[in-house]
Amino acid sequence: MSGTASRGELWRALGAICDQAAPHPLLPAALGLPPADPAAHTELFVLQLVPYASAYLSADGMLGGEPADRVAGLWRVLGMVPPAEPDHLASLLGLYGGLVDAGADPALGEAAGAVLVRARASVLWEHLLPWAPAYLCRVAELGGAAHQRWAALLWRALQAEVTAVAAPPEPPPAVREAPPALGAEPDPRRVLAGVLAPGRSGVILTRADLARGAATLGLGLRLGERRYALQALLDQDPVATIGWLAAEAGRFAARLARSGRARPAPGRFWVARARATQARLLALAVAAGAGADAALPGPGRAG
Amino acid sequence: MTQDLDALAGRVSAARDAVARRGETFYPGPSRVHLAAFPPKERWADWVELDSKAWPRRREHRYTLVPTTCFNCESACGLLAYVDRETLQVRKFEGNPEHPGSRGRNCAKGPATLNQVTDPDRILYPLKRAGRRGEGRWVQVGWDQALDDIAARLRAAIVEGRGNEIVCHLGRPGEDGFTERVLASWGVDGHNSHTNVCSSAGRAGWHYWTGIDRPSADFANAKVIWLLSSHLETGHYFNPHAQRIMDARARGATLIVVDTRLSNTATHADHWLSPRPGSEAAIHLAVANHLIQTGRYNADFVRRWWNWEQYLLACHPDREPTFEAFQDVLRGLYAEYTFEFAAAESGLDAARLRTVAEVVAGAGTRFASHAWRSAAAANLGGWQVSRTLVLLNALLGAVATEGGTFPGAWNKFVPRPIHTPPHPGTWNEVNWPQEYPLAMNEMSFLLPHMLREGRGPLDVYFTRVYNPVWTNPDGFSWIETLLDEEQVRCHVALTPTWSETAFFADYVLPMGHGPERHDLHSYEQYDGQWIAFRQPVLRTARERAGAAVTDTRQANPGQVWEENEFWIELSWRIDPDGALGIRRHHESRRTPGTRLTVEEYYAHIFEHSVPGLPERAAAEGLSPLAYMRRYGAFEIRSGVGAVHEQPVPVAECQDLHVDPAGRAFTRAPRPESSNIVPVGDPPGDAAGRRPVGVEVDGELLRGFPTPSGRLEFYSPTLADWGWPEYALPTYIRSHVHPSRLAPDEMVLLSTFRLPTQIHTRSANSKWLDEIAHTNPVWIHPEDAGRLRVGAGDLVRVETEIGHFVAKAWVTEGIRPGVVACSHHMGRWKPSGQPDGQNQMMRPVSLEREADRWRLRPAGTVGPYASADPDTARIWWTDVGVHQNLVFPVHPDPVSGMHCWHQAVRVRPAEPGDAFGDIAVDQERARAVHRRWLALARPAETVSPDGTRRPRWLLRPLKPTVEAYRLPTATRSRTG
Repeated sequence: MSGTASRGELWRALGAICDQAAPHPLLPAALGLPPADPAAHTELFVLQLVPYASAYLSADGMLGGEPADRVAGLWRVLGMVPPAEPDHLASLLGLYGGLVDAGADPALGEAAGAVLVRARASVLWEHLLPWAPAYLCRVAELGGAAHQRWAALLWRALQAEVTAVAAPPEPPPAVREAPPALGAEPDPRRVLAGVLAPGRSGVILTRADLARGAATLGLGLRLGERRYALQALLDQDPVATIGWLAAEAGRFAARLARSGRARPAPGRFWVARARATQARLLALAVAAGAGADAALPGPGRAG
Repeated sequence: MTQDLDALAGRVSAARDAVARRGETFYPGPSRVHLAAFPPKERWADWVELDSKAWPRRREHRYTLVPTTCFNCESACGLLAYVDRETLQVRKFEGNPEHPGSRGRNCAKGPATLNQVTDPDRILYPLKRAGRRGEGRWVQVGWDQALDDIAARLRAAIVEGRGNEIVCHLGRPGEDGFTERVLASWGVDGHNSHTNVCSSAGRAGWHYWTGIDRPSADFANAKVIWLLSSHLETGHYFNPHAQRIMDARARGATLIVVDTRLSNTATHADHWLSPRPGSEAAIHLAVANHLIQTGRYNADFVRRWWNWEQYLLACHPDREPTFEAFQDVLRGLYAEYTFEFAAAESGLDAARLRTVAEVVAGAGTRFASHAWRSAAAANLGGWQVSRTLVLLNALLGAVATEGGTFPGAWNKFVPRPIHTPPHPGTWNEVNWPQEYPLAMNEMSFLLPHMLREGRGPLDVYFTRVYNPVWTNPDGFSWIETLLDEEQVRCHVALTPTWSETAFFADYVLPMGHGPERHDLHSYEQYDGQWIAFRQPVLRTARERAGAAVTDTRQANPGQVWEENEFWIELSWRIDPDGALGIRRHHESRRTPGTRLTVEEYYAHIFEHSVPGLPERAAAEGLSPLAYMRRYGAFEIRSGVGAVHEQPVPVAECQDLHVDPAGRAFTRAPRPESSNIVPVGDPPGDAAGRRPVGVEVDGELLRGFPTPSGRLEFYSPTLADWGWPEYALPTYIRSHVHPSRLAPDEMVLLSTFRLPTQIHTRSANSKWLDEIAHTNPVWIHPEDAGRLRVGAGDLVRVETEIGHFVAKAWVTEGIRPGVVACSHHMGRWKPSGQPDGQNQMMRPVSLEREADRWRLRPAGTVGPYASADPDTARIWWTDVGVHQNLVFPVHPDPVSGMHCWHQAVRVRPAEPGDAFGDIAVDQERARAVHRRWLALARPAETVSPDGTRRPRWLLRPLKPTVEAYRLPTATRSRTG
């Protein structure tokens, strides 16, 4: 972990970018990022890809709950008061930056140093890597130029940490105790509800994706929250919609694998989940009597 | 790649430093650890927000954000006024993130300041009564006319040696010490605070222990928090405390709340104790006894810092003065306060008390406790409630420790002002009567009785943001006094809004709300010291826009003024040529012979009396005053720590003498300090040296500002001044103790507050009124069944002097045998009074027949047309009942505090009773006063040294040493 004496500042700054629609102009400049339009920030981080771990790790795809509690627990273990939103990416990066700074204190005793090493590994491997790679993969896809570069920079910084900070012996709780994958439920509606929970499906489907899907399928898009919009698509053409969802799952798995973001162990979990989802959706389409449309991209072929 | 990232991090650090040097915000909140939604301070001068109502059109509002300080309670939380740059009107108030105490957070009262500013019923011009006093006829006058008239009266009183006929009665505190200095400059001992209906008893408990009269609990770092009632934490002024308590709870701290009522605070407690009112000290002593008997007190702290040796010498002269002997005595002192005893007194379960005591025992030095009003302000001997609570801190050594409780003055900073007039050479017998030599504050609530007994008259009586007719007990006595032009010749009400008291004034002079005046504040809210600057925001906004403003009236609405400029101007008119020596205390130093301006006044303070501020301001290229106008607050220190453990510097050890008890005295002059926060002023030695510290384990340490320099477990002051039985922390049975109640009597809790109102001043806040506007009587279902009353039924609540009629609220949130009725409500205005507030004040008829008074509602509040369309939407009609009118005065014979709890009989209303009816027999009120007065031990009887009061005790506006002497005739009796 040499050479990281001032690296904490980098993490805080990266966190501030996803936190603030209009950060101080010198902040993105110092990171070498172009200024971002505040409206683009809102579109990306408020409307499409909310930067909360719980949204990507929980069984229902909702904010809060156990994933947020886990992070809050870590703050408490470290003797600190958890912030209001402990699982926000900026909170996590701020915490990580603080640990990096504290670990660089030359006056640190051996025991305290060991605690900090463990804490840093915990934040990285248990609270960031289980979801951030997949999340950044989608940011790189949906964000504007400034946020694409931010995502690339953050990914680069995380990769450096993967090399520097040893992984704990056990897989992180988010993987170990992950919510169940989409099962063989007879009720397609339950399967489809799981599709919108990334922790179960391994797929991150945004409002923009659904709009794109509607356009691709020639279906009408009903404005509303994602479940409502998806249901409207299914009501109009269930077979085509399920097929499109399967293709999205395959496309995301392939993209994640290709990007290298699946190389840290938790990333592989996402790829596996996405492929399983793709398979389950295709089976569902068959069961619905539509068969696997040859035109649909198969696993690994979507791009 | 790693090097690349490190270089990037270095660039970010450099950018952050550069931004910070410019006084700008790099991270708005450190990575979401704190609130992050505040406008970055570098954009405060031109902040743009979109108009949400205009959506989807993009309509911008441009604001200049001006910090100020909330005036609604005593917390002095920071506000940010959003002043529209086009109209120069305030659009909203939000929190000031630069304020170290409130940290950008506010309660509902902060944003509701906007309602007060735009209140269509507010007083905008000086008014003089046109008819008889109280008749309700007013004529608008100019400030010059009012000032000249009042100044002439004041000058005559001062010149003719009638200075004691001038009294200024204060409600909401303005700037620390400002009014005291004005009165001192006049040579008048006329300061009259409201504190003896407020916090005197709570203060007394702290003062006798530490020489400092307020606690500063380090809640955020506590392991165990003990709150006596909810007053400060969710009731009255609570925001800075509540947020730190929640920080501690999030960290795992245990919260113990002792409150008879299920208060907001109690709902958050890990352990809620609902005791019989008045038994709180017994609970404290049972916990203390548990710590002592199980040996789980901090013996080393007790040995080092308690005045145990003094106690042994005074009370156990037969024992060897060793700590072991003291420990032996201590084990016996509180042995009778078992859990079973406390359970019998409190009505709580003994096992429950033991559980709580175990929690306390595990707190170590991280035990943060707080008692302010509540039980201390409610019971005969209530001052021992806070004193016994401090005993727990003192046993645990949780005094001035991280997570413990600090003496408040150590966490407060009062900067030395430009002029400090000398102490007045007179003693005001009306405010400080001889009967109460140990009263913590002025006996303000007895004023009508004093004047009736011929101890007056008052020639000029100011009520300043104070409403004694409504707030004080025995309100009809106040009305009688204010109607008597022989007792009170001229009553001047300085107030931002109409009040029951202002109706009985000769002049009603409009003073500004929080964003319309200057003040400087500092309060103990954590282990640090800060100042907050209240400023008239429209004046500052105009100045930012390039306008020259020389008088706050130029920026305030109507002819609303601010007090600082008012007092300076009034003082000049009393002494226009300077012959009386008054004017010089209000004169410019920059331009001698001209009036001191508020600009110069604050510029001087910020440049000379606030350590670190000039440097901080210079780093941003600002003058100290400009810095404070921009940010509104400045933290001087954090982590003050244990002042008593600080070594005394060698330079202060000139001709040092250490007495056998370890008290050290010096001839070295007291070092100049720019912090003039009041603390106890213990006496010097016989050789004329001043106390400088105390020797502990061979080290000369600063100690506490008590006569012994230590924590005074044993108070020689109480012992010497006629109360030896109370010289130790002990339990005094309340005037509402079960043994003193008739079988059909209950206890009425009348003092509890709601977080959304503030005394009588918030009645003109429509948002707050909509949330809270009535005060039903809380009755336990068991009592309701016995009394045969249901929810909403009218009940008669009878005190010793009369009754009020209110609605019942049947709830398990109160103990059986106890009823409760909240403060704030029951506002009224005499019917026919054309002025007054219309959202919460209902018209009433006031009827007098010899000594009997009645108040009957003559209407309700309701919708009305005004400049504010919202007043047409008022939906509430029930504004509660003014219960304080039927409370007689209960002065505690030691602390002087009014003991608020009432023994009452509750029964269903009688035919003909109407909601809000009040009836009082004034002869009975006077009889109750005489009965309580007989409990007092007057100075002429108990003074050990021929003085009126121990001089070391705190006293607002301390007179000269000579003025402390009892009159010769009296002194001859006391020696």
